[in-house]
Amino acid sequence: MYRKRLKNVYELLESGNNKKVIQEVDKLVSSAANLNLGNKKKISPNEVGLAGYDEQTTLIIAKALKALALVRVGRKSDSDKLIDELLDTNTTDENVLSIIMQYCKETHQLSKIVLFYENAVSKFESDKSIQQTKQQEYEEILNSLFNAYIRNRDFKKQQQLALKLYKQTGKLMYNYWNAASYVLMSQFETKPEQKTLYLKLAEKLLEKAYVDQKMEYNGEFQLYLHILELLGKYSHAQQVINDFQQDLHLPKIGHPNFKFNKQILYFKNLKDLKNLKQFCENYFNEHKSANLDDWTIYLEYFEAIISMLKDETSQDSRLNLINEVFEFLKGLEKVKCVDLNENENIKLTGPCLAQIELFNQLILKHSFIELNESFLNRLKLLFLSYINMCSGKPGFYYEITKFNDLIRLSKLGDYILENLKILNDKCWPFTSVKSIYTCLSYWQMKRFLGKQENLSCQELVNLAGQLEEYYSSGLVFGKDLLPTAFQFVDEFLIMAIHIRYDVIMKYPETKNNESLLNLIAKLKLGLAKSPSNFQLKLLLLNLYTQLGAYDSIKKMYDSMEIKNIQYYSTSNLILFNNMRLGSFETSSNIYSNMSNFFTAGLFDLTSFMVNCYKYGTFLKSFELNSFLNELKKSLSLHICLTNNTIIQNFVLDQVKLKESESTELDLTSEMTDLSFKIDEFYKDLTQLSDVLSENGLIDSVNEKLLTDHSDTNVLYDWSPLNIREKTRQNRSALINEQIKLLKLRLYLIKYVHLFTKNDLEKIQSVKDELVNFEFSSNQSQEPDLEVFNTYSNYLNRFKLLGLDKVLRLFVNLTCDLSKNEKFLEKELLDGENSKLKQYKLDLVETFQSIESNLKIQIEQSNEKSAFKIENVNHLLECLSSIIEILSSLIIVLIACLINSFYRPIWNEKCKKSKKKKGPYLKYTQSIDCLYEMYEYMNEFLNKVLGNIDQVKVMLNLVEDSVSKVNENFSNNKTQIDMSDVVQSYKKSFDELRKIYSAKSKFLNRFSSK
Amino acid sequence: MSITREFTCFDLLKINNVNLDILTENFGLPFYLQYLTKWPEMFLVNESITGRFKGYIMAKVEGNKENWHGHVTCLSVAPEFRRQGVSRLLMNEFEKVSEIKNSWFCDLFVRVSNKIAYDMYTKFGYTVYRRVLDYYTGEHDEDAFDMRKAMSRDVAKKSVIPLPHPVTADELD
Repeated sequence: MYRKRLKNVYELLESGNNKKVIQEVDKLVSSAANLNLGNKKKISPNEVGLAGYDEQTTLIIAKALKALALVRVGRKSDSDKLIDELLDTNTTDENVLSIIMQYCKETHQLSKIVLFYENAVSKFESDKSIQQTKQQEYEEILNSLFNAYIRNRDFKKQQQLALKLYKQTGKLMYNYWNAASYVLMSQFETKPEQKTLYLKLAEKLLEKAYVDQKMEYNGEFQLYLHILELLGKYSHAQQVINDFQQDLHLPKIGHPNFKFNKQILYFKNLKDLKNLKQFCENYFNEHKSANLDDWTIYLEYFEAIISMLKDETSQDSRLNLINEVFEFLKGLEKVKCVDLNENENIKLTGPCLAQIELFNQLILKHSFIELNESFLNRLKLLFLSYINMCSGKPGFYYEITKFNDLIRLSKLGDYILENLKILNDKCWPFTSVKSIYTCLSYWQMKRFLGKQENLSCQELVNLAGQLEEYYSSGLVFGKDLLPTAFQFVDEFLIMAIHIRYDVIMKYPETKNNESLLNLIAKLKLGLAKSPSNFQLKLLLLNLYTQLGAYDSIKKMYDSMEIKNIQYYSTSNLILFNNMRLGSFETSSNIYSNMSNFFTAGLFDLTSFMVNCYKYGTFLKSFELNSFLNELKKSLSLHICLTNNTIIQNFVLDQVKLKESESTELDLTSEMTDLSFKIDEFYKDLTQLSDVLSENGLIDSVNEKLLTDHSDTNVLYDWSPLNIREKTRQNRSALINEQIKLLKLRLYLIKYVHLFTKNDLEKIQSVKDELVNFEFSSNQSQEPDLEVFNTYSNYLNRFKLLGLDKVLRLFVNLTCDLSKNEKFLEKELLDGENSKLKQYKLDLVETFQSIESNLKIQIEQSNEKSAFKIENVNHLLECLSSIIEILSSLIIVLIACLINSFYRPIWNEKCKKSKKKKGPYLKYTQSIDCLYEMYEYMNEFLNKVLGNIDQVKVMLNLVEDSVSKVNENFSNNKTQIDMSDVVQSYKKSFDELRKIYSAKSKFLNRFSSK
Repeated sequence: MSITREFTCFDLLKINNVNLDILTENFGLPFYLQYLTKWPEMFLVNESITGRFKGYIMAKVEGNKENWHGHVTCLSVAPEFRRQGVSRLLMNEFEKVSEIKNSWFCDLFVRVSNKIAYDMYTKFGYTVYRRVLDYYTGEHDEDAFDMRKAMSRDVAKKSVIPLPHPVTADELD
């Protein structure tokens, strides 16, 4: 009788009609209850539930489905309750368990899956008869429990269970699972002797399988060899790999070079240099193009040679060996590759670059030879040969710069440039795509070797013009390209932008309000010709960042369709910018997408560790485990989840509240709700983070673990090394600032959390952190063109404005008040000199100073003569920092008022007291103080709001600059639209205005005035 | 000169110079992980000697009996490394693994409008086996060419005899 209904429930769930699922299951459960109460009618088992299911299991399935529906409509506490009820049923049914597993995965409660399967196993084991009759089911349940342990990375239990499975079934597969579990245990272990012990246990388990010749799959060999390598048992490993039957084992899993690569590795570690050398030479002598261009094997080869040279006693024998190797490599240059057709004109660069690398190692790395005339000449010839072979191909720059140190030592930079110039001169005017690349190679190397550093302002401007000319002339070669391809000459434009930016930075007197806008305009024109070129988009994004035009930043980011795993390596482009530029509500969506990815992504990883056991790719499970540990340190992940909490729950909550007529009762429930949300935030972050301490904060020790995974290599950069070092320093300063901001936000969340929960016993540590927080950053940042170096002065802004003082005063005040009677009693005694009074005075004074500071800034910027476009960015940072701090303080203030920590003294007796003294007086005094704070804040907000309205004049001045730029470029055939910069600013100010206004309305609602 | 090696999870953090390209799909993490854990030897990256990613290939082996074959799911080369044989190298490596795994043939799908890719695969010995109608869905649906190359196991080259009629995506095996 339930079958039809249950089928219906499944369909409803699948179609996303969760509310209906809940209703249907409720109906089903109540009809079952009625049946059990009175109806004695016997129903045949076939009719009761799903085919093959009894009534009880059918009901459990229904309830599990209901739990899924509940969580999908946001009723997580109800669904958790229901799932916990099901735990007591000790169900062993795989159908039920798989629904529950789905539930636990969706709610990220991986540990709960373990409980269900452990219960199921216990039930099986308590009844020996079932265990025997349902042997297969029992094994499946044990398998599922094993997977649940993997998902939780409980390697110890996983190992014990694998052993149990092996003993019970005798299947060799479980033996490998057992060994792999030991390896994972050793990965987690910090004590060296314990680590070794685990590995030895794993080795012992596999040794038998190897001796008995039971290893079938490459994965099993890989695991065994990996363990032997970790134990340093290379000799035995070599024996194993020699026994490896390529034909028999490789088809199952494995790369054709598997055996060869292992042999090389073991020769190296066993110092069998002769064989190592011979094997490498044989590899090259196979005359396959891939082998001859395989850099990895050249490096192995040289390692053998270097070690042999170290063993040689006489200089002559060393030179002989060196000559022999050079001769061998030279011989490879002329080799005809067996896998290339005669008509394929592919010249392999491997042998040539390998000789340069050998010089690099002999001269620079190991000082075996000195750079004498003869060697220098040979080196020159090699570079020349390489230039002739490759300078007309893309990628030349990324190979030759590998030898930067050698080029500098041998002073061959000029020689390389001279030869490139000869080719370059023949290429201009461009006759082919090859000529474009040749020319590009020359200019890339010129920049890399620092030849543009000492140019005068005019020379730089001329150079940029020349590169722009190359750009324009070469566009014709890409006229038939699809819009998805890059123009061949785009890199000339990018370099010209870099040079024009150098001018602005080196000669600030040349900078005006249109400087950066002009660069943006040039890039926009470039993008019109090459609409898919993300390098142009990234540069644009950087320039928008410097201007503080958030909406344009976001549009660029969105246009690159960044998603999924890319969030780890690129999300900082957004995360470092939105809050400082006043984008709270408009960035909600992107935060939501990123948070979903970050939270789900890490859970996916452990699920795929399960796959590794299934497919025998054990080494990948170790890799995934390390990868997971790495991602748990992700700065982006921490910033994303933390900022999201601040934005959603602190900054925007009053924006939402204003829409309904809130009463004090609503506020109380809002506070409870907020406290619950922060609990959930901590739950998520604790599961996803290896950095967070028990109390949800990041201390200075863990701070060092936070890792920025930004893919800083993505952007084209041909700067010399000294400039790169500067870029690196800028980045390090930026990251330090971001870590500090993250810590500040985490302290604020904790501070708010303790007040909303009225849990003030733990307040002291957060109070100390907030009161002593160092707002200024120790390292200074300079804006540069590296796209991941967002130039931000946000943290400094807090201090410059005096927000640090506001925060300190407020935290001290609220914490003092939380000391209850003791503090208030002393206050009464102190009378005129009371601390409360001082707090009030100081706060009023600080608010006034912030407001007047802001007013002056705006007034100055509104004057045409004093206007600087960067002031808009500064102002946005100021307004954002104020609202960020104030949002937290408002919540704490409300929490104080409604949750009153002094409420214990507000008793019945006190209420009835006619004289209004004693405890009542203390109460009224503190509540008066809080209300006064409330009023000050309200007044301050209103004043700032008034100031925001004054920015219109400033925005008109931005429009003037934009118009000038538009005019400059009006001759171009392609029209450009620069209005997005003004629109971005307008959007940010509008959003800030909306938030300030909502906060003010919210405060007004409960204001006494 | 380059380094070709198996792709690792950590490489997922460094693929932007390849993946920001508009034609390269950014798959969800589970998709990459599936390939990494199931066919690690067919997910290969090629990088320059300075460590910059040149390109990568993501492939698998699948099918039954005479349909057992190597399939290229994704092959992409960074714009700054195009026109220098990176695709050729990665395809060769893929075919080598497919051979070892006793594949009858190798196949891949390409947009019918992507002439550059079509020409390139033709040069590598691939021929159109069939046209798949509306295989690529999106703003503008587009057909795909299912291109194949027989491996040494298929001596008679039966696997690459073109189908006379196009098929729909639902009809794919």
